[in-house]
Amino acid sequence: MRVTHNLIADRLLTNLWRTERQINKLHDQGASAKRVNAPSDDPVATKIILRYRSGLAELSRYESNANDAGEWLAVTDQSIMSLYDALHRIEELAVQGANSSLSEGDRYSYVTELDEIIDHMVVLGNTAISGRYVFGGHETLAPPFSIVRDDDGTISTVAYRGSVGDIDEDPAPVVDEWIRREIGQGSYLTINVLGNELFGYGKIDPREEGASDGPPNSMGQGVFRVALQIRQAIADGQVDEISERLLAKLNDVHEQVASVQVKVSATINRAEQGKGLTRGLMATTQTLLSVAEGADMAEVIMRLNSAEASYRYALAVGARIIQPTLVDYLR
Amino acid sequence: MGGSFFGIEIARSALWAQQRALDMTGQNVANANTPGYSRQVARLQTTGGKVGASAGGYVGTGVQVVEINRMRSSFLERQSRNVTSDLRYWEQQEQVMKELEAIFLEPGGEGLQTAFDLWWDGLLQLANNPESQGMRQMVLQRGFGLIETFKGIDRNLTSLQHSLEAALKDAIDQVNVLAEQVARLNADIVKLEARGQQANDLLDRRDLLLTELAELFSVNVAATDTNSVQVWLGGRLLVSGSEFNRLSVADGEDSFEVTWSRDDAMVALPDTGRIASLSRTLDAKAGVIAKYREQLLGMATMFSNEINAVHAGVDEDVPDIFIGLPVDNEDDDIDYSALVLVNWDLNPLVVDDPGLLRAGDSPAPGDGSRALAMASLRHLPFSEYGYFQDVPLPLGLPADSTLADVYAGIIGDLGIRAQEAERQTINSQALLIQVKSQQDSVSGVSLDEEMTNMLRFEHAYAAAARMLTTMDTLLDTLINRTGLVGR
Repeated sequence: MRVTHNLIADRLLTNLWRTERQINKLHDQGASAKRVNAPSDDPVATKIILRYRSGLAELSRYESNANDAGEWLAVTDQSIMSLYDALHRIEELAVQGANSSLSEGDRYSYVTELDEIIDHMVVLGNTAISGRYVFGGHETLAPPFSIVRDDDGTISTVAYRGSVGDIDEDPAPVVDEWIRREIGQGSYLTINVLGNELFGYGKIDPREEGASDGPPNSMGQGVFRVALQIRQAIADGQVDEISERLLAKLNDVHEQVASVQVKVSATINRAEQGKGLTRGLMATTQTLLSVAEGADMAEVIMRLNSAEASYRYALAVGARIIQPTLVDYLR
Repeated sequence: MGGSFFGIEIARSALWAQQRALDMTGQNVANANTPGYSRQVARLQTTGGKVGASAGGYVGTGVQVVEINRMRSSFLERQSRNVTSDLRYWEQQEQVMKELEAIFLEPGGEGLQTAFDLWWDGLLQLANNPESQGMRQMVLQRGFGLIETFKGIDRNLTSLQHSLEAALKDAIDQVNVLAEQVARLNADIVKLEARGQQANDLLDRRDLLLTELAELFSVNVAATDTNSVQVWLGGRLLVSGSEFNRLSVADGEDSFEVTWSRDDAMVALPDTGRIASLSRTLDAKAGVIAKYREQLLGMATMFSNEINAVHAGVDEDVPDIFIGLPVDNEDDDIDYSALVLVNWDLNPLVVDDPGLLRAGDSPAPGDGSRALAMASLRHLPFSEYGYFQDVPLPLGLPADSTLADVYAGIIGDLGIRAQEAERQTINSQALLIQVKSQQDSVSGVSLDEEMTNMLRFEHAYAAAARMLTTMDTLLDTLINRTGLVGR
């Protein structure tokens, strides 16, 4: 086969181009520390990278949702604990107040303390996180509980303005009053406790006791009603009423609050678990992502070195081959 | 008859022939780097002899140049044209794919996927803080970002389409120019050869033109007896003798059709070459750009329809439409099938008053259920979209895939095509080099060889000149030194 100088030059150029192409790609990989810089570098890996990257963004939102849920639940839990303490104190006062030998002055001091406890419980019911009231259902911007007083200043009832949810149905179908956080794909955590769930007693008719046209509602047989009844009984000296009926009702209320607290604790656990799961998934996804898109720098450098070497060889050999012609040797 | 000057005559023919051969060497060296040049070799032959004038019978009479041979292999020529067509096809494909990769910007994290991620994330944040106007603003901003990304990609795809259309028109113009030149060369070659002359340079030029033509589409070349060529394109003659048929580009509704100017018939384009590559890419149905645009539009349609369906509600004060065509009518009716990305936008009513963005089922400030439901579309396959059951899916969207699946499908498809184009380009390049070296081995000028030839012919020329001198001496001896006996 005849080999002409043009052929040699063409081949040299093609070989140089091929090596340059390789070096260029390796340079991209080295500079970005990524193996895949364009879909054509690895179409399958590109799809995987897209999914993992999107998944990571989502997981970090889930994680912060779980944190957010945890905060919200912790505040709720704290309020319920305080409510629990308040109920204990009410029980003590009720037992002490159910004594027919008490003087007018003693009864008055019990009534005053009960008023203060009721005040305190209203404050607990109006617990807020960064301006949002936790016990008001979807009505998060207005304090859900308020004290209604008679003309002479005594507390007559406590009104509830929060949303009233159907607490027997969970998850509720379309319209409900639950506040949820998505803590995993399709996994929703209900984080709020409704005012009527905690302070009410079981499923109640919010329109009981005269408030026939909807909220503000007074609470049926709930915490405030029992507390007010006990206060009234002590003020009136109705010892039998307390010992026969109201202590039992107080006990019921107590149990209701306890059951809500159990639920809240369980939810806190779920939030923690969700967070742990999300963190684990994030770590796994991160690993998989770097496997899919990350360049093995040692390999890149090695391949770059060898590509560079062959580039140099091609140049050196080319320079040697192209130079001499017969012309040099003719006189 | 062996006359006195017979030897001089032989030397003269040798001088002349060697000089022609040297001229050929000069021509070869001069055109060593001329594209398409085939090296030429003077074919020397004895001029024939005569019989019996003197003892020994047959006597040679000298040398002559009977032909200037053009070193060319028509087989390699054809092979090189085919490979060139292939190479140009894939090079064009690779270029388009690289541009598409640059348009989609994946997996760099600046593409549509990220815009979607931000959007879903924004909705979840709104669901967490449905009371907040700031969150609504953020959702709107991210919605704008998402829509702008969609529109930007679509815009770039459109402008890529336009520039490819222009390239296709240029290529067709080029075909016309080349076909005309080939036809003219055909005529010149036939004329020259009829006069018994060799049209080597013209043949080279025609071959070069045919190679250029092969870059545009895979040419089918048939030689005729008279040394003119016929060029076939899609079963019809593009060039025949000195005649050629013009091509034109019909400005179709949304596609470009290459037609024969004479009768407006469609050209059945071959599979290789730049024109095939361009016209395939531009095809309104099967073309890759049209397909991607259609899928993007389908995604946008499904997306806005379902988001609006979740957003719509009983509250009279809030418009149902969140995303869609600009809605100026009050009754919130959207014809989703009329959606085009160019004027796709957020509902300006909502943009002006973010409070109209419905986060919950109820007007209660703490209700984020709708935002949560919108965010859950992220993982919902189209088949489970609530409000789209009776309407057929837009073309190219599989029912069991999510928005992200469709997008990943586009990117995966693009990656595979780009990879294929890249690989095929490298392969065709290697193949072309292979064929070119074979071709070069036949037609190429080797300077070393020419130098050797130069020496050879130079020596022969010098020897012939010496012959002439010798003959001259002989005659001198005969004329001036004889007949002097006894003088």
